[in-house]
Amino acid sequence: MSIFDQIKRFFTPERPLGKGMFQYRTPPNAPNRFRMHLRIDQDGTGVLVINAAKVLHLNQTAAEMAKLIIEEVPSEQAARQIARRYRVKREQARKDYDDLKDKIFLLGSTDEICPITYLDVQRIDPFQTPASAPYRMDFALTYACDNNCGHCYVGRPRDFPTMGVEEWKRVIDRCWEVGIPHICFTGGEATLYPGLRELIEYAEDVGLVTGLLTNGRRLANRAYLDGLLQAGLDHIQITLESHNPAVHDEMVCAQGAWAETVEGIKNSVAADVYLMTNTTLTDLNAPTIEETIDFIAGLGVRTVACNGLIFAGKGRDVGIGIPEHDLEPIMARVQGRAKAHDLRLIWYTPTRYCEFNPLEHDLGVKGCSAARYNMCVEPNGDVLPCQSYFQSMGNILRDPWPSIWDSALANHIRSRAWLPEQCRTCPDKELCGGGCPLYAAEGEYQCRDSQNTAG
Amino acid sequence: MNRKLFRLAVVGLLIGCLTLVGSAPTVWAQAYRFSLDRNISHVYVNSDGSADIEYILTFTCAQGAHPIDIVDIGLPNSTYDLKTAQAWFSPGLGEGRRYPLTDIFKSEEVAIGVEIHLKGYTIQPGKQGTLFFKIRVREMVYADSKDKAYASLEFAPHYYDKANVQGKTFLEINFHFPAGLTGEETRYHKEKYHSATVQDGRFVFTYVYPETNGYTRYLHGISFPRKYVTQVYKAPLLGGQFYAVLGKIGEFFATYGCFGLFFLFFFVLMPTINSVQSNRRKMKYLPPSLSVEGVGIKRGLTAVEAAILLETPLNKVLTMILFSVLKKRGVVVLEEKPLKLEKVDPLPQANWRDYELEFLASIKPDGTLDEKQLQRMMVELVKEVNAKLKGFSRKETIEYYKNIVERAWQQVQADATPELKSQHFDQALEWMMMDDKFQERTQKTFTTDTVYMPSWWAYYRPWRTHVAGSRIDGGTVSTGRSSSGGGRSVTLPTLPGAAFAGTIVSSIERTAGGIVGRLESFTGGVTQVTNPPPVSSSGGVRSSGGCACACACAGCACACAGGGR
Repeated sequence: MSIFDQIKRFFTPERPLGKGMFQYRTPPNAPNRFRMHLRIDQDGTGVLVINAAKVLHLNQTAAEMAKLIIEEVPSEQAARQIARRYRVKREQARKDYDDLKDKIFLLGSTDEICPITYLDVQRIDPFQTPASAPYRMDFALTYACDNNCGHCYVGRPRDFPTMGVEEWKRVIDRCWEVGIPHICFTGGEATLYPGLRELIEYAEDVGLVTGLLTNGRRLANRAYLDGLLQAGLDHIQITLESHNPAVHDEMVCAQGAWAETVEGIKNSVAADVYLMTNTTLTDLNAPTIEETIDFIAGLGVRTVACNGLIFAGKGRDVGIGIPEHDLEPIMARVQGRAKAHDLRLIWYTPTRYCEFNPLEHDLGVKGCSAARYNMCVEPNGDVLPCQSYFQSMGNILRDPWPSIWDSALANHIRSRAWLPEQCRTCPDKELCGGGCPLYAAEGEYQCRDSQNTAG
Repeated sequence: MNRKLFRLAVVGLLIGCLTLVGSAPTVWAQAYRFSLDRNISHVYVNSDGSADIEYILTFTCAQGAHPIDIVDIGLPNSTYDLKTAQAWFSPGLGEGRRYPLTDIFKSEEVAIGVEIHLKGYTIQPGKQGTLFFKIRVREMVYADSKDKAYASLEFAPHYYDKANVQGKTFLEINFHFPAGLTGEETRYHKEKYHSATVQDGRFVFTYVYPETNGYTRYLHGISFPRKYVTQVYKAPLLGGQFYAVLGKIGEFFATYGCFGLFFLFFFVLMPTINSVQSNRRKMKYLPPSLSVEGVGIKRGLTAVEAAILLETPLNKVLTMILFSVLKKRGVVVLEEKPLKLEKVDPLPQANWRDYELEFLASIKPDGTLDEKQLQRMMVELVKEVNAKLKGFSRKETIEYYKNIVERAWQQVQADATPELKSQHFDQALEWMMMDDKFQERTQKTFTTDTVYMPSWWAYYRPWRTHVAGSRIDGGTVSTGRSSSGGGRSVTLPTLPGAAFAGTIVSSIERTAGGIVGRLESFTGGVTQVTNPPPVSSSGGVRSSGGCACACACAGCACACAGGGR
């Protein structure tokens, strides 16, 4: 720095760190391996995402220290840097830096510690903290699919135009620039996209965590699966609708699909990749869901997920969905079975809490996270609020990010402006969020209170 | 000092050195160097608030030093009257003839003081001479800061720069009080006088430092009743010390010229500016904070589950389970020591919890409890509670249930009738059992009122139809122990409150004490499963992950087509 720059700097007030995205990966031989992504926003505050799953909100100081931690800056040097920029003694800065580093690494290396109770992490209400970008972006690489599910939520034709690999790479770059740490390749069927492996490799090189949502059929080819894993693929979700081949094939409308899907599951279990299955609960498979879970457990899968019918695409009219108020006994069976096999159970679907309260059933907070925590890029680069909400908010390659993130539709969904009047005064509104807006839009939505006929 | 400033300072230093060529030669001139052999001063307080100051100063000029041709003497303030100044010189210790000195001027060296020119009596190097000096300073007596009825005077004899004065000095300071004071009216400031005498009808405080130095300032003071002076003055804001400092600064610049200026700039001013400006440009520091989305309180736990959360001792938890099963009429206590139970067959219709069913399953044919099975049940219960807490704030939830326990007590204590008290106590018994102070609070709650035993008491003590001291006027209940054996009707007693409390407490304690063989080994068998020592996870990042317990993570709360971790 020239002397004039130094003099200029002397009179220039310090400013928060600028927007940026940083990642950290533990060394390959570390006993507890994890990945972290730090997104620093314009105001200097940050979001730290651990293993693409645990989200911590950081104030300005914590964000700046987290960046130094990610850059593996030694304590003394970090303290000097902080003391140069903030009105704090170096000793205090060093102590706070070391404490924060210990906390972050502990949270990265175990899920067993409640951060609020034991690590002095503050609790904030879900869905209330503004963000500048989602935590996950789904990449619908293509709408082509080798299944033909009767309840498919895709509301586009199968030959919908799709971008080439180089364009998708630019989308990956854009996601990194805006601070999205995690992408999931989906579709249609993402494994039908020829450049999938190349995109996984590229995304991992940029620094993103990559996942694959698939029907699993192509993963029956072990070599193909290995190729994806060698490219750096982090996790896989395979849809299995039933233990019963007939039920599964009937739901996906493809003979022989079950056998390939199960082979894909077996290969993934053997490959020791983070794997989960997903099952869409419908009238067809709900009666035997326990056997399905037994079967999945028998394959060696440790995490199972379920979701309700998505009211988009063919799902709108297929008529086999389970109404929200009928979910409780089915989920009780699902939970009982998952518990019996010591499986981790994830329930995906946001429902109205007055109909089915996931909190009361120990399924965690569930609320619509479209245009908030996750979004979707279509094959042509248009950005959707989520994989199932087929209204574009702009094109990720052509439109500036703020115009997409702050589009009218995004704000409409985030602000729950679509809620009916009765929901607006409900004390559970903030957590419940009114369930799925697609479910509401399809006329299935009636407030239970509005159905009272007392008097 | 930061690096850039240091570089600037070095540059300044070099420049400053170059200017020395043209600077005043005073730095290199012969310096004054002497010993101040004696410094004797007398301060005479006058009735008009002035003071006459007299000095006897004996100097020995150092060998090779500048001859002492001018003597500067600092004065307390600028109200000295130069016209009253008188000076004499006497060689040596001043015991011989005294020669008057007439060149007495305002000093050019000290900020407030006079300079006396020795002229023909200049003290040459190696020689000794004594200067006698007196002067009146008008505003010397001030209002005493501690006593309004008193007046004060403070004085420090003149001292010289350490660079000039060497050796030892005999220092004596004498304060002469106004005439007419009594001894009790005299006061000193801070340090007590070394001797007090009466001279010419005036009290005199004397301070003597036989072997001090000539460069240390010795400030002393006296106080006396205001009535002995006609005038007191306001103490000046800036005393002589301030001017002395200013004088030192002036001396510094006079001695070192431009170099001094650069020195001051780079080593004093620049660091100060740097420090102030640094602070101004830095951002406010807030300690780093992390926050995570979470839901708060996990409601809906049973008392037993809450007890696990509150880390209640496991024998008490087992006792709570036993009582919950008793209340559902699922078991009968056959014996207390050892504890023997009998399952009720068929099991009554009730909302049976898993842990209750597992508890029942642990009853062996002989009625004792299978501890291994109880341990397994407890492990599952702990895991279940932890799983239920995921996504919730453990801290807030613990407080919530502690509050429930407290409110249960408050309810029972507030109940007006014995019936209500018994009823609510019965309903909330498992919650209250969690309280560490259960025994004490039960005894406080039930003191004098008559209490109805709970209806399920018969299942707990079926062999007892009454308790000593009770009235048998309670209701009856059938134990319904087995379908083949036929029920036995038992009349439930009422008890005086204190007896009830004692019964409940002692019963629960006995049960808890005997429900497992050794509590430590039982607890250890549970915790080694629920809280095992940490083990390194194998596999890569791909096989780890998943949501933290207090995180409404993106992966889980995401679009219903799935996709999270």
